[in-house]
Amino acid sequence: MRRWTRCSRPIRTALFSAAGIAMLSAAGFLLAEHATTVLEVREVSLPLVAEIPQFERRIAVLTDQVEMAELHAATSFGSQEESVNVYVLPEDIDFDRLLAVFDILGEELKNEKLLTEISEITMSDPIPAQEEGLSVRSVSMKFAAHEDGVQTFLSLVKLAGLLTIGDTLSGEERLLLLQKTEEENPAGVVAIEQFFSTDLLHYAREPKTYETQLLRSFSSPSFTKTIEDTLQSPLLRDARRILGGAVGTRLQQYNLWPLPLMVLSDVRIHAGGAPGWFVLSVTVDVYSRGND
Amino acid sequence: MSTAVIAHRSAAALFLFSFVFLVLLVFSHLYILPKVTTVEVAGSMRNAQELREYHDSLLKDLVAKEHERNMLVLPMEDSAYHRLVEMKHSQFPLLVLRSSLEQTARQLLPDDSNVVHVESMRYTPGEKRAELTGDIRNVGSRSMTVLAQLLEELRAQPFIADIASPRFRRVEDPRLGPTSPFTIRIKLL
Repeated sequence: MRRWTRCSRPIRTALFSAAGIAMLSAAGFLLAEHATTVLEVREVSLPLVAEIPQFERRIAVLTDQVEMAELHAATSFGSQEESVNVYVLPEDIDFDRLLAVFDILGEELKNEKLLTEISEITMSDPIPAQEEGLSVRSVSMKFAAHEDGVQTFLSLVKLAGLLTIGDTLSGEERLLLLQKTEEENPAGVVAIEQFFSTDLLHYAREPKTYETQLLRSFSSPSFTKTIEDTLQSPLLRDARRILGGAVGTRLQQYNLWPLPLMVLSDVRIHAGGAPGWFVLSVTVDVYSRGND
Repeated sequence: MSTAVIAHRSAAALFLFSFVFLVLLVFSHLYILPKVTTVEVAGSMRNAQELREYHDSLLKDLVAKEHERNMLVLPMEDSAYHRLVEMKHSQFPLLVLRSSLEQTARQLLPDDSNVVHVESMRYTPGEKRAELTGDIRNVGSRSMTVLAQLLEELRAQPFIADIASPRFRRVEDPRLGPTSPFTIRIKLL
């Protein structure tokens, strides 16, 4: 009996020790889990909890805006798509319309003594454009013009093909206005939508009417300031100057608006014979939907 | 007291302490920790992992709604027409480019405006390339040095990505004296 007790004592000690160490290890693991969970709460949950109500609010605002915008969008999209297909990216380029645009521009700039004669205009055969389903023709011409005439010519090329006010604004400018609308007056999305889809020529002829109509939907000075800054974007200024003037009048008179989509492809500018005058050789890409 | 006796007595204490400690931690892990580390959001209690999942789903909804709203307000966003319009917007304005380059040349030698003579400029917006042709004049034998300075100044401009080094040469013009003609090819940003 004494012998058994002497033998079992070390075994019991070893068993207690092994079980104690095993349980301590498990407790250490659980303690680490506690620490990780508390750290997660501090580093993950708290920032998320601060962000989630903002997200929920924005989603609610956006849902309302989508419902309101849907009412107006169906009609404006249909008419824009039709204008693009008929005038901006037609099946076949209407050369008479295209040449009439350059004639009107040339005549008006000559009247203002900002341009000499535009040389003969040459047009290449169509080639497939990088954009699938479109083809492109290069239209080349040469002329001497004053710096202001050059500016007007290049601006009209840049405006050619743009249909609405929204098209003249960069992606960042449009998004900034939409975000401001969310913050200031979510219901104003309809006014913004109508402003963006306003025909550019109509706006350029009567800018105050459309601007006042838009500003009526927003009262905060910060939004008014954002709108005013946007209205001073170089392309919108050019649209008001060129399309709001004699060139715009004649484009409207001869039903030449909307213009076909033109993109500046190559331009050589030489110093002209008099100060402020330049000789320009310009190649413009004109796009159409057909494969011609 | 022998080491064996000390080990025997402390083993029991170690066992008891570990057992109680583990039981308390398991209890805390199962009942206390979830209570103090979950937050009620949108009507249900969520832990960090569930909050992250809810946050991600909200973000996804937000992006989808924003896209839906933008597509309604700017209906032609996904079309070839829109991509061509964006291409127009990305073109650097020719006259701004020319005046920026001329201004850089003027700043090089502010006292003498007739040193950098730009004869012509070619601009290919699609390739984002410009080519300046002209010469450095009215600086005598320093014309090549001034041309090198002009290149350095142009390379420092924020809208220029790269400039191919032109040929440096000096020619004797009967009317202007030593000049360094140049053709500078610029890659725009």
